[in-house]
Amino acid sequence: MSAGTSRKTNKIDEVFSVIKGKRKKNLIVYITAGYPDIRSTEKLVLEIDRAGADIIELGVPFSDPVADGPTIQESSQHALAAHVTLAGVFKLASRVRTKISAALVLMGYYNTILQYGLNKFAEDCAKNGIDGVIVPDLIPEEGGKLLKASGAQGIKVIFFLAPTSDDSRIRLVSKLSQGFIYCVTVAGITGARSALPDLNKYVNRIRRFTDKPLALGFGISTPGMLAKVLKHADAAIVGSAVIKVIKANIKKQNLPGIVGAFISRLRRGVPGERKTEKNGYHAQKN
Amino acid sequence: MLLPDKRGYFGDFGGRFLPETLVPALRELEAEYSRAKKDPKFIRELEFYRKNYIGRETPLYFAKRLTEYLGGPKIYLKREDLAHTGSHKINNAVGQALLALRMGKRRVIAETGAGQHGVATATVAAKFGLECDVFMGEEDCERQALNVHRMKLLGTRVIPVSSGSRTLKDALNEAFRDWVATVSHTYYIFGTVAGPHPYPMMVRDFQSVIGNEARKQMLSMEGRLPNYLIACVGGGSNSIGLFHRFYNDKEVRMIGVEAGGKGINSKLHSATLSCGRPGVLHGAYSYMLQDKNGQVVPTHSIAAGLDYPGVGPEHSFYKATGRAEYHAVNDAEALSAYHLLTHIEGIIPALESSHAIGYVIKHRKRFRKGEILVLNLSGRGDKDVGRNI
Repeated sequence: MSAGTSRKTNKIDEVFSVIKGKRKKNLIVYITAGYPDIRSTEKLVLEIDRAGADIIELGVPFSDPVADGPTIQESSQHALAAHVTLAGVFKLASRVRTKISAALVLMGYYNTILQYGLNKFAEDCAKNGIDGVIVPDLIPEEGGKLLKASGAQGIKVIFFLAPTSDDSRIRLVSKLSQGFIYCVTVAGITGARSALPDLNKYVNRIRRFTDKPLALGFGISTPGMLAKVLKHADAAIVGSAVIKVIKANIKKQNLPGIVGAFISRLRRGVPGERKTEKNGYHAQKN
Repeated sequence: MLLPDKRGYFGDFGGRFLPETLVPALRELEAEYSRAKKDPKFIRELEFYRKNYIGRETPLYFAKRLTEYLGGPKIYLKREDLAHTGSHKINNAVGQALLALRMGKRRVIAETGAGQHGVATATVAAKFGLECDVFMGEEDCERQALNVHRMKLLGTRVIPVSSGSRTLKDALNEAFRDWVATVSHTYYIFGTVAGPHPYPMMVRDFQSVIGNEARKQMLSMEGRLPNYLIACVGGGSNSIGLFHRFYNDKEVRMIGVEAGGKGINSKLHSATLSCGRPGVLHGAYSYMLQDKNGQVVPTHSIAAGLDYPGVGPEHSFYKATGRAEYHAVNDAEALSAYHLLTHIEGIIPALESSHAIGYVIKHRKRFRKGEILVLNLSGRGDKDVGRNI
């Protein structure tokens, strides 16, 4: 699909396609755009795609990321110091879009989107091959304006559920979240954790209300954890663990290769068919 | 007109912008608060602590020598500096601590800038036997060391925040990050009229005791309402506390005084309403200081309690509708007001409150003889002694 064409199907729906009654299990990888710099991010996106990410979440840095732990905070500060802007992230997206098979999603705090202009934001998402948007400080009750602007451009708005969400909220988020639902594994902020709580009950509780794909995130950092999460959910989101690998190898020439290898290892935790080949989906589909 | 509306909006401003994890807690808090404020037992308890613990009502004091010095308007000072712990912050801390107890929470957290809200929270935590952690920017810990000491003495853990600008906004970020992970047993005693719904409404209600008293006192002392209300604005709780009861008294004009820092053209200020534009910060849509990309910009004020890039949504509403006007007073002007009041009235004001006094001194010509001004002396200046003389 080339950038800017009208979309009948959104790439996120492709990722979560149901084959023979079974929904594919997916790996979603978050990186902060501009960490360590925009050029490196571009190479990282290509490597992460090649290594088997099904959705790549590009973080738009914000000065006050209240939902994020120290790892992602630090990467955001770094990117801001390098003057990374939403406009710059769109340019990056347009450069990588045609080279990758993964769906591309933006993760950004509401104020950066609001100040950009909601309509312009949605138009530029469509223009630059962004499939969806995740806004950690936007709840469905406040999301009407963004839903309207994005809906006009075929961009999905993904909302959150948390272990604290009660039935009425699960019902509301299930109804309004598009593409998938971002289910936070623990009440807390982003960041790699040594263990995860039992997710079976949590996922089952949400499942009573919706058939939409469920992506679990926060604290997932190893193939083993991924495998555990994917027993219950349709996708696992890995963020801080990736940022940590970037940080540890930030000065190395082959940083993209190292991160790619880390994603490949994570990928082993994903049951089912592997997506190893570049542009694997296109190759399979065409 | 009863504001905010059900979604927590004052006109275009307010709302609830924060992670889903906290939404159930905010809804629970909203429900509990609406029950509590109609519960005679809660009302009686609040009244009891206001009178016997905080020491209300606080005097409305005619500042005779300041009045003579200015040579025009009559100046009354609402003496919140005489409230227990030394500022208006205790009004809100007591109210929210009672709510925390009703909700069965064993731990409270708070953010603080000047340390006044931190001290107020540490105080009620000691009084009611609650575990307490206070988040405070590293820079503020240094410049308000006395309050850090008081909090520790009260048994509170003070957690210095080293991220970002190391001031109030970063303390808020950290408090939210803590709360999102501890929400099942922790109550967040939010210190100002900002943040997500229901905080702006609830903190306003608890602080409205200032204006309720002042209005009554003024009527009994002067037999009429004042011409002007003047108060400093950081997040905006002491000013809304004074203004709110007078909202429908259209003849009473309201002036909010922001921190002009080193001058509003210098970029080193915290004059959010004077120089900012609306956006989303810390849970609400309101005026904020930001760059063209929506990133929060660094702020500055000599007064740690005003050194904040956001402001409560009700103030944004007052500004948008013209109900109040907002001006900036810079560091030097506030500092000379601090000295002046100390010298001629024997009252050492907090540097925050000194901004309100500074405005009156600077603009004395706009007020006519015989006009009455009520100025909120939101806190005492002991905390500031020794670092600015």
